[in-house]
Amino acid sequence: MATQDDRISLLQGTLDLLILRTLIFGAQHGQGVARAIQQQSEDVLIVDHGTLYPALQRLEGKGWIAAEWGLSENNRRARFYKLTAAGKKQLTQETSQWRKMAAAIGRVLGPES
Amino acid sequence: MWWNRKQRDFNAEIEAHLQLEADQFRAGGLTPDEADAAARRDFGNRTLAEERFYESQRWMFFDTLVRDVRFAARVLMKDASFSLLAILGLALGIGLSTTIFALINTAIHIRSAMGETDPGYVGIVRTEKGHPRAEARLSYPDYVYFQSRATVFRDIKAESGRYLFILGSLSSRGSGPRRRRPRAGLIRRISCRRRGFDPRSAELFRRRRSGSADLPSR
Repeated sequence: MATQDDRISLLQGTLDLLILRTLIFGAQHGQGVARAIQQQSEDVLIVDHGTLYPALQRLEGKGWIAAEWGLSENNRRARFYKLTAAGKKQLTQETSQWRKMAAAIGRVLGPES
Repeated sequence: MWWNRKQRDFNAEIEAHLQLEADQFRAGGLTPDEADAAARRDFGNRTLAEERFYESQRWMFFDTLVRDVRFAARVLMKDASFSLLAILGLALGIGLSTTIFALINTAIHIRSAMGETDPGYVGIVRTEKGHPRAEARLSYPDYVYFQSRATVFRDIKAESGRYLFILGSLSSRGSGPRRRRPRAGLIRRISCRRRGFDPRSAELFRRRRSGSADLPSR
């Protein structure tokens, strides 16, 4: 698990990609999305919950995710988001771009000394 | 649909998030109060998130405009008599300044128009007012003399203090060799001198055949 100092804020523009990636496993509410990103990054990435919901709203506006109210596993009422077909297509595209960029930056930085 | 989403719905989602988060903290061993506080702390600025959502749903220019108008109406209604007085003062001030501007503008326009279009209003010769022999200094034949030799000014108006003498063409008709010789005349003192002078409305006294003027009796 990462310590407090190891944690980093998300890069600008990466939150949308991570949300889309998290939702590929099934419908999830906002709190679950935030938790999933933190757990999958082994607590390195910090999701600011205040910016998560505007991002979800933005993705819903673009038609990449859809939302509806439902009940969580502990019987709490929550708004669940799921990936749409357009969202899956967008995820594939953005994932490809991100991998290319990460590889390119890795090459520029060189091997870890 | 997302664009029809109400603020209340968004706020409920935030509240649900906080409850779910608090549940996780409670499961981790925190007391209910500590779990709630930790959930709120982790979420950050809730109001900011709600404001972002609010702003994403509206045209903020019109929203701000409506709020400003409503605020102004409330302030004005708070002290209606003072507001009425202020509005009347403003109306009076604006009306007064508009009237003064209109008067000055009209005066400038009239002077400009007369200078450009009226051939009987170019040069002015004035005797000294208040001088006991003021009228004797410049007689009508003098004006005729000046008029016949005037080469610089096309028209001359002279004022004695009692009468207005106009020398020159009150109306210049024709052109070239057939152009009429400018007429000279003595007009009565114009009653509306203070408001301006319009030679077209002046009464002309024709010259006698002998050459002397038909002067008005005093």
